Amino acid sequence: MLETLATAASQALTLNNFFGAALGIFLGSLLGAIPGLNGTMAIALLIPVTYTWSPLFAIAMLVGCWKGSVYGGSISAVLLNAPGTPESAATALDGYPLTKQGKAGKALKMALFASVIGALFSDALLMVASPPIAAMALMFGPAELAMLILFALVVVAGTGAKSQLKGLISTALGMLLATVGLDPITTQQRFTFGSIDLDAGIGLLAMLIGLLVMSEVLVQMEEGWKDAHAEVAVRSDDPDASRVTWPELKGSLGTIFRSSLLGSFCGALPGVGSITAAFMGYDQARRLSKHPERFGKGELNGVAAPEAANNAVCGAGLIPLVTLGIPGALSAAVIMGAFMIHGLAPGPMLMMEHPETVYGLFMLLILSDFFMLVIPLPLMKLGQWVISVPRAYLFPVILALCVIGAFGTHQNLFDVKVMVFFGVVGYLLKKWELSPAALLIAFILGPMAEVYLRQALKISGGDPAIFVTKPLAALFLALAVGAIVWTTLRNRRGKKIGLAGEASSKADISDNQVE
Amino acid sequence: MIANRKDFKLGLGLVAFCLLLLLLVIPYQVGPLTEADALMPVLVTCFIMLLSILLTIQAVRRAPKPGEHAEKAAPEHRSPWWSILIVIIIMAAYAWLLDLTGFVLTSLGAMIALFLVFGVRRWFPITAITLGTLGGLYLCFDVILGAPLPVGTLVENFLE
Repeated sequence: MLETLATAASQALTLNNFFGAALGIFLGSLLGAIPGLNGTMAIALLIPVTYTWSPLFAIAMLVGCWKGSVYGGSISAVLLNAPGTPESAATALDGYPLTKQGKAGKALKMALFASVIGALFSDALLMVASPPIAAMALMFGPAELAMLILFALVVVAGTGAKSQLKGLISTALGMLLATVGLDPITTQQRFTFGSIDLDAGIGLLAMLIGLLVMSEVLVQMEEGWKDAHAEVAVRSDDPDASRVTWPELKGSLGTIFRSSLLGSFCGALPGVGSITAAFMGYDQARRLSKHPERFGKGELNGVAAPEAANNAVCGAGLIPLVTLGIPGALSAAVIMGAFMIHGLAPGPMLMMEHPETVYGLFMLLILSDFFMLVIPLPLMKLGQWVISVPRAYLFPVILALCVIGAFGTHQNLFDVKVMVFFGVVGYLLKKWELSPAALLIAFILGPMAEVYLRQALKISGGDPAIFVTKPLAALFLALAVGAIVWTTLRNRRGKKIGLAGEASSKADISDNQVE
Repeated sequence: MIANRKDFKLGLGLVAFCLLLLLLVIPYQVGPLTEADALMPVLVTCFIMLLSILLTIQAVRRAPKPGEHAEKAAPEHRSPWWSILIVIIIMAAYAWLLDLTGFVLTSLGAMIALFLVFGVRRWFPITAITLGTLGGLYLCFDVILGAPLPVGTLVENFLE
């Protein structure tokens, strides 16, 4: 073990990789701060650039970008009451009132400290929890893995779309798209329509960029957007107005740790995501506060709690990805795409076959948390300028990046056509209130599900009873059925989680942002 | 009486799509429905059909909840449907012309057209952002990453 850690450290802790993590945080903070852009879009556009780089450098940069974008969203939330990312909506509730009181600097710094502590907590959890979960997952056979994927898909479908039914349809469409190309077992051509370009299946990255980025531009065109207008923030002569004092930070530590724990829990569960985590964090801080009446009027704990919670989702969100090969959230699914493009297949075998890479990544993640303390600081000053860039100037650049991004990975013009096709498909999916996120996650998990399903059926001689006679497979199947029944009943009774609803209205969440 | 027309049309459309897949596409593009290769496509298609039928029935019985299709906050910039269509056409042309006219010319034309569709009329920002983006992409892909961007057959012939 120590030898592995030493090898991992020697591979990971290089100047090059430090630069990668720092660059990711910088770009993520910058892009996350711009309302209308989000971390997932940023990661999707950055993946093609990383194609020729080492896996550690590339993945550290992309995860750094994810973390940076979550914090970046709070800059516009605090300064303009316009959350850059949906998970920052809860931060605006107390962050913006603080800005109006001339304490924007204090709010942004508290958000930063809470984000860093939340991220550190969750990365430590990732490092500690991953090896035993991966070891346990190695004991799973094809039947258990097939049912585990089914359970994950059902959970993701239940949270990503407007209704459970539409979520399931999106998931099934993703599974269907995953069957395009050569059969994973017999190599028989399926749905290729005679095109050699489709033999290897639909290009993941091209599809991802089209579904998440191009379609978002089209949706924002249709629904309209509001450009953020920089307002001159109220200035205060009090030197404490732009910094967090030690007593203030000490007073918030309890809230930050509780929110970090909550955020990590939400991150580790597939489909829950950072929006729910942020609002749950905010809610627990308000309920446990001695002064709940101060919330919504500029309470520092109201900034710390959601920021700690939504940043804690990132590291913990990698637990199901690294250990089971199941992305629990859309950003994790995009990161999974990056793993695959770099020749690493997330799942229990990843820790067996590439332990140095995995532990190296963990080390870089923890290191990137410390970078987060320094790198976004200049953005706080640049904040008002950065977030005021009109989207009419931004969108043509983003669309050009989509085209070159789709082309860049395989140097294949067919991928550009695939990207444009899925851009239109993504736009239509959103119009019909289907979930591109669920479709994408199902597309990624589809081939694995098919292989495990067919292997299990082969073992049992074609008898589907294997899925109920094996205890763990039966448990996952029961959980999947239970998740469908529970969500259906919940929807029928109209018992929707109020906070999640608030989140969607506050942050103008588009479908691809829902995790 | 149809309570939710949008879902009703979607449900029926998906049922028709699934029937097309099961009757025409899968037998010719995959193989007989009973073969192992066709197991997953058939299983998933039947599942989509079942869900689509449920969606259609639900659409007949249930009207959208109040506020379900409500407009979002009044935006400053809202584009008419035809401008979305124009963006899609520009993007399709961008994708199909890259092979012919190459990265520089196609991107130049597409970006200027996109700026105009998005309502930017000031030529200085259009020129500066377009040239800056193209220069940056060329530098990043061609020079730094060593991944050459398409030159285009027409441009290649012209240069020869």
